Amino acid sequence: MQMTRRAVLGTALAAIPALAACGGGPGGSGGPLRAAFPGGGSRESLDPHVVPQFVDQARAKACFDTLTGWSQDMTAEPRLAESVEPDATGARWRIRLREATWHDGRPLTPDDVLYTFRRIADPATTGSAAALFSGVDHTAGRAAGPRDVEIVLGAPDFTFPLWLGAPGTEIVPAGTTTFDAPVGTGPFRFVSFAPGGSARYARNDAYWDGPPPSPELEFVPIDDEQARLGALLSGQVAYAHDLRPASARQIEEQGDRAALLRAPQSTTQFLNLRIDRPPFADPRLREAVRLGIDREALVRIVLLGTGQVGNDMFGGADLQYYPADVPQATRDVERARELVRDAGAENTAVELQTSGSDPNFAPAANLVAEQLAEIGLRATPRMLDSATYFTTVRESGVASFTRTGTLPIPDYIGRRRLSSADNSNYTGYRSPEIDRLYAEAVVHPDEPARAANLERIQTMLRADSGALVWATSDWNVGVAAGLTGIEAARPNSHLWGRFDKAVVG
Amino acid sequence: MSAPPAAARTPVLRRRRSFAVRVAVAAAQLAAATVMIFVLTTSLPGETAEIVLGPDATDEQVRELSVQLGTDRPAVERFVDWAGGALSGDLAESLVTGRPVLDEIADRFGSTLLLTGSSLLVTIPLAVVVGVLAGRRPGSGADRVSTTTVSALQAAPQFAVGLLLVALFSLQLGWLPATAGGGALLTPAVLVLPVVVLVASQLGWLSRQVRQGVLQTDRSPHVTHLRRLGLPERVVVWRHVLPGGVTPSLQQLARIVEGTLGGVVVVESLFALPGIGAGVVEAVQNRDLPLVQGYAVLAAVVTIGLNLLVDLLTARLTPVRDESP
Amino acid sequence: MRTGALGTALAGVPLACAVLGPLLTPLLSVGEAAPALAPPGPDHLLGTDALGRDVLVLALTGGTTVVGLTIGALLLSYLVAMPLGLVLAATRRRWAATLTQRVLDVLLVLPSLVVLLVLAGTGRRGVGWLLAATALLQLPAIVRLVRSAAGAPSRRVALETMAQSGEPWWRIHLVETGRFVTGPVLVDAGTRAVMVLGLLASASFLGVGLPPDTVDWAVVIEQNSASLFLAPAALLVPAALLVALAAGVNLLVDRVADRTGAVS
Repeated sequence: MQMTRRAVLGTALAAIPALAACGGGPGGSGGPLRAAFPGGGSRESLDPHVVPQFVDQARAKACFDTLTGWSQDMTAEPRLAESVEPDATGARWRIRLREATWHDGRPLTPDDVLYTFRRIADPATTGSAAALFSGVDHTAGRAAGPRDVEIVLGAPDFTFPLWLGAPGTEIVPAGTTTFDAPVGTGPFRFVSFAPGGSARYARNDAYWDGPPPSPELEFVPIDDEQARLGALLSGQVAYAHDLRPASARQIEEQGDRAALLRAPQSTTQFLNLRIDRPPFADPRLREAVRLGIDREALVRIVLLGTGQVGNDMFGGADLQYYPADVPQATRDVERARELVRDAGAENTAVELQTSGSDPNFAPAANLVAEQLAEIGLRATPRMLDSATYFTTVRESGVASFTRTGTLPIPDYIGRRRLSSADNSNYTGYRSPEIDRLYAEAVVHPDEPARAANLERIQTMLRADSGALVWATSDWNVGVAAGLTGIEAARPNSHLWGRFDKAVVG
Repeated sequence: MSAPPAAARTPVLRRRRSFAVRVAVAAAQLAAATVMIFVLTTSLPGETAEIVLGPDATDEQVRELSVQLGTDRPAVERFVDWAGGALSGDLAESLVTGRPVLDEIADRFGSTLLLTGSSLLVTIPLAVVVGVLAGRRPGSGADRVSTTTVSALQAAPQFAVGLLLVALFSLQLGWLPATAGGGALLTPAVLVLPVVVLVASQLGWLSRQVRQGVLQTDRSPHVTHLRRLGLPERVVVWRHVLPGGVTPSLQQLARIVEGTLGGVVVVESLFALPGIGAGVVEAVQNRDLPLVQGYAVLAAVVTIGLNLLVDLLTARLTPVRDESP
Repeated sequence: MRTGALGTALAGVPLACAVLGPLLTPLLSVGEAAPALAPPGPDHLLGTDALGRDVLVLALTGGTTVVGLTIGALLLSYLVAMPLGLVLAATRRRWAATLTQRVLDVLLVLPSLVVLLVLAGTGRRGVGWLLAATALLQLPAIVRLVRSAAGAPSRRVALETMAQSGEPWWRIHLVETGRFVTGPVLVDAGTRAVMVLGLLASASFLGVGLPPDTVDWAVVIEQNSASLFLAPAALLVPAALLVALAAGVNLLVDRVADRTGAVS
């Protein structure tokens, strides 16, 4: 007894200095710049090509660079690539690299780029961007000079520069197989990483875009949204990612300890109606739901007014290739009720699937259920396990809530709306016509012709795909008062999750 | 178990024999519990590969990773493999991090021990003081106020108490940190609010028991007799009422430790403490079967060990005639 | 006894809400299409919550599920555990009794919240599943309690007397002993009610309890956890009701224990 008690006490006491040691000061001056991200479900590796979670992408961005980066309106901007130029066919591309060095001092070479593309496309990598590089002919690519790479595509694709800015396309040194201590070209050098715990980085003084002002950067995983907000307001961290509307409003109202960065129209909020399963196999019922939901009430109540009313199309109006002058979808209860009656579907039970994957899903489902009651459908929200939510609704969904962060519209269509995209098809809609229009668009060297095809696809999706967009919501990030050098940015854009210009005030 | 029947009649040997039986039973329970946990977790929809790769991964990628992780093999085969390893002390590796399960658990154990240890160090003395004060003067103002307060705290859901404390002390006043950030932000100050939540919820279980014990001892013929004999009140209270009143609470102690460990799940999630409780939640969410199994073994060992200890203590304190069920 | 009065008052208000609330709400005139997080006013006496629902209506209707579930789960587990415990206490086959108890004890080893977590993961999160799981998790402890209360030494003499006077077995062991253990069981039920209430509320908070469309105090607290400062009533009123209910029950149990001398 005595022995055990002493041993137990010993262990507990031994833990105290360890705690004090890893404490440090607040996220503010002196100590590292601390950024809090939700970290649940992460693979907990620093492989920059497997980046399913936002925290994975932010960690990759600190240590590595991509060839291009996406601007706020989702066009490609040069990063590690100084230029990306096609030949006349669009099947052969020449990439000119910036003069940059790896953290170990070696220069960036064409071989690194060729190796990276092969690694991303290798099935064994399970890379997030694998699909984007499946069309690359890895045997035909070659170094065309000390800083020039020639890439050959299996088929022409004039949207190729966009793919070089996608998350999970970070350039790694040729031959890299493990990422226990990653070496990149990015603004911060790797220092330490504890799976499930924090990842620490130190400033890279040789960074090609200028050394970051912050000497140290630390990513802290905090899953609970309220805890992230608390950590920010109590000064533990200087950056809190992904806050829900109520927290955003609280920061704005309290104002003195933190500031809110709000990137408008960053997340498209979908209500997916399965067009190949009852009851929404009946187009009249899909139309009834389209007319029956009150998008303005949803934005006002669920998003606390921090978003735009949706119009059943992906993204915001400022995105490249977003179709202009499509009339706004509005509510028409009378017509909706009539459609339900015509379909003989009064009081049909409908399950609205949601999960905790996005804090807005559940409140939206509750409100939609009430709104659908007014048009004669008996909808009940059902909360599913977040971990497996997307697979579950893909396999057995009827009406499900999902969200998609900002992407270039060609990427959104190419990876999520073609017949080949099984994984993110939540409505069962497939259209050979859309496949054809898209294939034609990417081989078009002519920009307006490409735009016309892509816009046509979006109006078709709006009319028939069963994917309703009830809102595009803002992306809310809280930062400590006085922190500068971080801009409100849409997720997936190159400014998002970027800390190399951040200065603690 | 193999003790000769004649010897079994002597109390010491009999106790030893019953101890052996108990250990054997405990081992059987442990085995049953691991089978149950395995069945429960394999019945969960979804698997590790698809969870860690996220919603955008293709079906081929999920298949590829499950082959790499070995989760594509039949469940029974995996369980037999795991059980074989576990018998020789090898609890396999976490599917998510690839590190040995024992290391994963050991990393988290210190934090949980510190949290539960600190809260027990506060709970036990505080509960004795509150219980004795209340039990000595039942029905008095002090009794009513303390019993009501303690009952309310005990009854309040831990998450609600935690949320309110965080809202007040971290979000509004900014006095105390709100989260341990999975260990990255762990300072002694971070432990204050979680310990308060745990103490608040566990205090009542013990203090009300102490109050009951003191109250009954105080009214017992034995103590009344001592008072009638003219013993000083101080001596009566310290020598007789206190020991008599507190001893029955020993049984409650096991419940407190269990309750504290249970509360740890909520509190660690709320404050992102890198402990066992949060680890269990995460392992279940990730369908990290070997890790879930590891935690189940740990929970079973602790619970069974604790009950064994309490039973042995009770047996030691009471005469041999007791045959506990 | 003022403790008793206080306990009755504390438990009474939430219980009244749970039983009478659903009947009262139709009498309240609630404005249509309310904005979220509205402050208290003539239309909404306690304001609205994060989903634009009237907080007063939520308070009045949110108790039915949690009170019903707690009582239901307890009834279910005592209905199974009482006869089982009595039979186990009475049987001469000690090995059978011990074996049964050991099998039941395996359940004790599983942390309750983990069981609910897994249950929710499999998509089984209706009221029925929650009721069954909660009841099952209480079973071993109650069987243990009933057995030891029925086997109390003071009871043995009475049993022998009855056996000698030729009473039938079931009458001695089930009816009479059952009556004898009622006191401790009632005290246990009170304490257990508080535990079950806490378990159900925690489960709802972790997102593994009642479905989110249920109007339930714990679910409402969870849904409004982000808006404490924007609409305090939406969080504090249901929390106060939950706490009052559990605290009141606790006080009443103490009072019964004070009188009967039973230990909770």
